[in-house]
Amino acid sequence: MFKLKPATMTRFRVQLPMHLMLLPCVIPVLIFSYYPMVGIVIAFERFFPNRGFFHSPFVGFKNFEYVLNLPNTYQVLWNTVFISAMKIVAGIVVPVLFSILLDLVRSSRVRRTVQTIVYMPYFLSWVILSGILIDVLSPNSGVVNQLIKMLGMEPVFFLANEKLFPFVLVVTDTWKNFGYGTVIFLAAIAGIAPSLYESSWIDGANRFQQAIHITLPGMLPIVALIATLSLGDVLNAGFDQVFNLYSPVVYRTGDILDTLVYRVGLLNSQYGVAAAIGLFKSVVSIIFIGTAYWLSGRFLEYRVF
Amino acid sequence: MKAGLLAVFLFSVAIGMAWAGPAAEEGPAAAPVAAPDDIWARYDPPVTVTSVFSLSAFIEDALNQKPDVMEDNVWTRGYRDDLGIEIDLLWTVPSAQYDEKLSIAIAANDLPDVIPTNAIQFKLLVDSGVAMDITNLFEAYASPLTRQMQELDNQVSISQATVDGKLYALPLIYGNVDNSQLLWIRADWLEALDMEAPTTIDELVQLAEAFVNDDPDGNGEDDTLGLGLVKDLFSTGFADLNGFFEAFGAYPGGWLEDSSGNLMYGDIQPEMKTALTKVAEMFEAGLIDQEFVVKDGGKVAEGTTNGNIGTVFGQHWIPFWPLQDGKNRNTNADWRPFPLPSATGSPTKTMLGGSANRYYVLNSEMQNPEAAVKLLNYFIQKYSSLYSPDYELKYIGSTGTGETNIDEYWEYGVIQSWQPNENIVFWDLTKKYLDTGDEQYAENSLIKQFSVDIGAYHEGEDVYWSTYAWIGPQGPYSVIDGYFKNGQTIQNAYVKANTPSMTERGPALSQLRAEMFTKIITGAESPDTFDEYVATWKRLGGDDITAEVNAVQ
Repeated sequence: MFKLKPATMTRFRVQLPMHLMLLPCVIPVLIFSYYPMVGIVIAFERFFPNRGFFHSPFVGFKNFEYVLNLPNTYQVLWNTVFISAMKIVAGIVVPVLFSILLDLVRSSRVRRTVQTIVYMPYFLSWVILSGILIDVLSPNSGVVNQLIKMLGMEPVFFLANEKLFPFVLVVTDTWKNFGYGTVIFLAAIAGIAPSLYESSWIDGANRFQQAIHITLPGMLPIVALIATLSLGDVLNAGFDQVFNLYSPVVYRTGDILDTLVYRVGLLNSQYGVAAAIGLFKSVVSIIFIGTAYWLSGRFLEYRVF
Repeated sequence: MKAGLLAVFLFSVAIGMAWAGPAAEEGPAAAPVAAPDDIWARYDPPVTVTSVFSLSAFIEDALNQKPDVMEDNVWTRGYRDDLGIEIDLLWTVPSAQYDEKLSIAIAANDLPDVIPTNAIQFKLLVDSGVAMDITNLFEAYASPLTRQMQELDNQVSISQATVDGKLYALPLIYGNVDNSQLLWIRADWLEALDMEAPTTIDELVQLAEAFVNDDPDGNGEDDTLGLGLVKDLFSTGFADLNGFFEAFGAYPGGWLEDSSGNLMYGDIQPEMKTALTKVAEMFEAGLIDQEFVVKDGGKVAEGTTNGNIGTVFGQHWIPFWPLQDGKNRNTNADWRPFPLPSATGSPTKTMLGGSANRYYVLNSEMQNPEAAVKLLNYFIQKYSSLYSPDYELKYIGSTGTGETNIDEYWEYGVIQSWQPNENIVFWDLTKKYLDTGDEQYAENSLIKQFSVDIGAYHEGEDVYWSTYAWIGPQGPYSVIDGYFKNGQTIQNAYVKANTPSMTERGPALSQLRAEMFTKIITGAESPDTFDEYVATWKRLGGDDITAEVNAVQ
């Protein structure tokens, strides 16, 4: 038997009400986030819902073999990583730059107005946005191609061009979401101590120098946090977006794991296969998050726990 | 997909696990069922049958006026008084959410006695042993009229509900006459250009050229297209290419019998290549929307509504959506159905597919399963206005006229089955009633309703156009009736549930088809790559599927 040190006991007693207050949140998390993890076992079964986990036939790694033997799996995996990696980079670089630039604007009214406007597309669903984008990017009548034509160039069919399609995904996704990132980064900037700016101003730094030497380093922990969290998404290339924008002519570069799961697993009720791909994604995600968390702890001294 | 379909799925499955009791590995073997003395015998004391119910817009509206209408309506009263069967609905849900709700109930294994399912859920319940083998039960209890309906349906829906020679559900007969493909054209454009509806594919191409170049809408702008097309290419029922391909004797997704009686898949026949080549030519010539690869049905519908598109292939229902929207906007838009043109010199045959619209699966734990067959017999007896001596108007009801009570309507039936060819007959009766005014043709209240609506349309109320265009004398059924009279139909030779290889290889193969065909049409690949496609299709599992289909057959 070991005995808790008196100091620990006291701390525990002091903190007990806090722990109790946390309980209502912890219980749903256990029920809704941890308990369903038992469902992972589906990935190794030929799953029949009414028989449940315990009575569905166990098939070992058959579901994984099946996925690996599909003709396009490797291409799809590459597409997924390529698209989401570009999205992650753009999804950090763009809002960071934008929030620094926005912070340089003196008028707070302009700042707030711009912030609200760029935030708006975030609230639209891809179902709606895809309809708009198909019109905007139309080679015949779309605004973008009207501009291209005015510059004397040939119109481009963005959504049916194998080479361009992944980049269209990245650009439109960044456009939709960077307002959200901007809000977070502006909050980070607001948290930087004003005294730093004041003293640098006394030392003769201009606003641009302040941005480079004070704002950017001051934001870094939050940037690291966001980057770490988004690394977990490296196999999530954005189902809603791709599903609503892709077409057979861009399958080769635009088909991603989630759309494959949708077609193979859900449309055909192959739940075991869908779960196998899901499990694979989760394993890759946890490796990435773990590595990034370790790296940010080691080099940026950022830790959650 | 941040949270992820998968997360939702795992969650629902977890619930399933929580409630899943011990489950049978296989459905119990069917015991022989002795023929009853009287299949109409009333239960005394009454028995209770549980089920679940999908609420149509009509019933949701009725619930507002009479909250207990699901427990007390013309059908539940009939079941109780005539059959001694009480209905207990475990839950009801608006029809748009029904499939999802039922999938969750299946995952939770919380199922009623009678489970109305779609084709995929049906297969799942059979594979997992929930569905009762009702071969002998149906044989013993089906009424003469029920059997007659199966014959009128050519046993198609019964065969769809049969797996490995055993019947696992009571199918709702929908009638596959409605699978027929038609060519829809703006007749006002034809008239403006002084042209006739095409009877050959060459004439169709000429018509498309004229629609593109000769300004059929007379607005002086170059804004019209030759042929509307959705990116899915096939089987959407609106602006797809099924009708076009059928003109070449090519049947996408269909199974055909070769000369020695073996089944072969339509997608890989040489006729497909000829048809694809023609579509590619039309695309090249600018007769098809150069951006169709990104347009789904909703986007193409904008074209028919705005008056940019004057020709589409489609099924009988498209007057309701989306053509009515075009009529509302432009009263001159005069869409009419025409028989499919032909590219081969002989009359085009349209393919008829499955006929079952819903599958009533009986839970293997159900007590008194024969009660379900009785419910089906009863529905057919009371509903089949064209065939049954016991047919009563109050069981069908009449929508919209206010003459009948809100709780007297066919949709309340717990197990339904329709008359296989009823839309053709309705069309015929409506035409006769409109021609002669003879009341004997309007005994069925629907006929009267149709003629009232059509009259309103002729008085200038465009909102009734869709009824006129759907069931009116020159409507799609005049064309479909012609198909049947002239032998211009062909039955899809395989309409049963997916074979194992279809489930496993199907997604990859349909992706292959979509990719190849779209590229050939847009000119990214030459039509000769079709031969390569056929070889790949066979290699990626197509040969296995063909073998399995022939084994089942």
